[in-house]
Amino acid sequence: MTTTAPATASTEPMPAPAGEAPGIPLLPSDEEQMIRESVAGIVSRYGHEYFQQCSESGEPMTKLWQDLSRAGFLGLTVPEEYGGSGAGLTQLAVVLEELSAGGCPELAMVLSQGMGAPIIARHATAEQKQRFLPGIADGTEKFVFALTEPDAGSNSHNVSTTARLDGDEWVVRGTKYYISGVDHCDHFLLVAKTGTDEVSGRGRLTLFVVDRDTPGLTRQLLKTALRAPERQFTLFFDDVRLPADSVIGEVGGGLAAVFDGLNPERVLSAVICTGVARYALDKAVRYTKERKVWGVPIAQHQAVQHPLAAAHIEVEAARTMTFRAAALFDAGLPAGETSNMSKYLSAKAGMHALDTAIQVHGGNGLADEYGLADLWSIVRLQQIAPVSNEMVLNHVAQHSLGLPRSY
Amino acid sequence: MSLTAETPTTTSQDHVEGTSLPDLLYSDVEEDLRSSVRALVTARSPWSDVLARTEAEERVDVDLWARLGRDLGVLGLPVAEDRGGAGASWREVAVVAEELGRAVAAVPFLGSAVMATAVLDRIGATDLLEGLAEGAVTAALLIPFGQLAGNTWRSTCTRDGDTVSGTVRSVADARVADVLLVPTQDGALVQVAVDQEQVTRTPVVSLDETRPLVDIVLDRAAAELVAADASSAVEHATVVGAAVLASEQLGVAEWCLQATVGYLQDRRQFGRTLASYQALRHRCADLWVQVTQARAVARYAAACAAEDSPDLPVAASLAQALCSDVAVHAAEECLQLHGGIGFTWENPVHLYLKRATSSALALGSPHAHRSKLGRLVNLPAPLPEELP
Repeated sequence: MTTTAPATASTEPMPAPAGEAPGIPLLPSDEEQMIRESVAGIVSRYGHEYFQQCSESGEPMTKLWQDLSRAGFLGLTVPEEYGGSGAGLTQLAVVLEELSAGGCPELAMVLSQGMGAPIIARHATAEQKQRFLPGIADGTEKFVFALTEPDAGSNSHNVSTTARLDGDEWVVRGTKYYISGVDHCDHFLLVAKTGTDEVSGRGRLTLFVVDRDTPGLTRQLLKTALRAPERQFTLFFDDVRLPADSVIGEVGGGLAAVFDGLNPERVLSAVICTGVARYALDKAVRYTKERKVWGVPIAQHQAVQHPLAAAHIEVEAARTMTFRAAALFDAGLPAGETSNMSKYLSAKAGMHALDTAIQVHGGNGLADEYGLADLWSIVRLQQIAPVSNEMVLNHVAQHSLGLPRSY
Repeated sequence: MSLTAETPTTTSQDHVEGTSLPDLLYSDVEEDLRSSVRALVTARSPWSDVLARTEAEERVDVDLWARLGRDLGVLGLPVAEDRGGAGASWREVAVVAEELGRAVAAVPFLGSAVMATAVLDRIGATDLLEGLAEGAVTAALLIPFGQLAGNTWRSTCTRDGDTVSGTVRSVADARVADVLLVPTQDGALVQVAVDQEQVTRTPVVSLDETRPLVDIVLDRAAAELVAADASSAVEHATVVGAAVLASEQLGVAEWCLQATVGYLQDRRQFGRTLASYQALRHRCADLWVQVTQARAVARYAAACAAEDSPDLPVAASLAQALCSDVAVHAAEECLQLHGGIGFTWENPVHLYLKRATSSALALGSPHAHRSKLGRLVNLPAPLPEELP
């Protein structure tokens, strides 16, 4: 195939009467089915073994990435004028869910296509867009994201890495940690403090684009339990000098720009979970129908069937909410609450589905050969990142229910 | 299948005072006692009679109550023989409570033979105690049934000369009481005969009509002083009440499990017994585990009451915190696994669900007992200033 059809090509939605809310189709559109089949076909050429190999070596899944590029799946969130197809988060979420369901949850896609592309498309100058977006669209330009610090995890306002103007250059000092995939990226988005708000006392944050090989920037591997091609790093900024045109958006307006990437990040984290859940349940169904103990397939037992059925129900519920969140984002409607809730549901459903699949595999569930237990860490990660399930509950309690702020 | 046959028993009381935990197993004497009580309630209080009585004028089974005192002599078990009792202990009382719970029997055992008896025994009110022990007199301690056991409550009833006035709502086991034991605002305990105009008992509709509740209004009712300082005796009586109630809840849970297993073995669907389905077997096995845990804490609470152990408040709250939830869960599982039949009036499950639910609120909810346990075992709640 050539490139993915734009969002409206194959299923022209009925024009909504003025004042009526946009709808979500009850059945997957032809376009969605085409994307699913196409991505499933691509990822099936590699399988989970490829993900395992790259996790082991720490190399990116380059061949898969290039195939996705050729099929046009890396430019879905990039506007057409910059080489993308100008589709939306929904289509990107479909792609990432299928990759995950095929055993290759591609974290790089969350950061480049999910966060980098919409932030740059919405906040960068025309010149910056021209410089970065075509590369994101064809996959030759990979972005990661440097926000978190030792004392600024869930509380982004607490960023202490500073950038000060010196002549026409910015000078950055500070430390970022848990920065994923820096060794695989070409550029990253950096959030740094450029001032303090006199009224609130909070830092005024600014968003910068930084070349991975800028002098003064060093990185240190942060060993974690995550088994994925992406490694985590601590980044040290020792008077790193950035040209004036490194700023994305307004000086002091970095948080507003960052927030445009957070909802996609949550939705894409959610589909990693639902995709891995589908992968795990599919394996569990096949295994339990084949595996015989005391003369019957273990799938015959209700104690095996019921947990799998319960997990399937939970995954389908999570998917429904997740694609609703993506549709809200694409429609330009407030998507924070639904994105948060879908991440929460999907993280839990994914964990339960994978854990159940491991359990019904018995001892084989822990064997690399069966390709389940090594995915535990990436799904476990989604209970904490990009926002912890507890912070979602805090947010829902406060903003959805109107309970007093508790944190 | 017999669930109780697998209950371990012991013949010796090898617990050495102060050096080890009390023996939690049932002695032969306790098993004999159980058999006698079960034989009586099986004969005299089948569930169909219990159900009919929930809609009858007389909610209390006064005939069974009389037989428990007259024929079996189990109403004065914890009272010393020289006070007119049987010289046994709260352990034996707890076994009777298990059996009465198992039958959801509508008798004022908890109110009269447990809490009223406990307070009078503590005070040493021998005359009244004798009447209670032989079953000639039925008494009720005037506290709201939902009140958390312990020293958390102060009466609003006031004394004026030889009279007492006040209102106490939702009192259990007072419907057929002859004597009301009234804690008063000044910490005293007075006894009030019910056969006087100044005492009004108004039945209240409650979930569990096998243990009916009444609102009581005392309007300058003639009262006789039992003890001028009875606060600690009343507190003790409520804690003993909570400890023994746990055994009653255990009896409710055991009946529910047994009835469920029996039904699943009997009922056939899709050509097999329900008991052959793994999902249902596992639920019964889970329930068995919970009932076994409930038995352990209920027995420990009864043993602590029997020995007047300093650990009694902890044991009683622990037993309430667990047994309340287990009894409700067992009754819910019993109803669910009986399918539509469990939902009908002509099936006893609803009697057990109602008893379990109201007992969970009696003498403090499981939450209140957990909160109390936190203080007792030095896990204090955060101070207000520690909250965000």
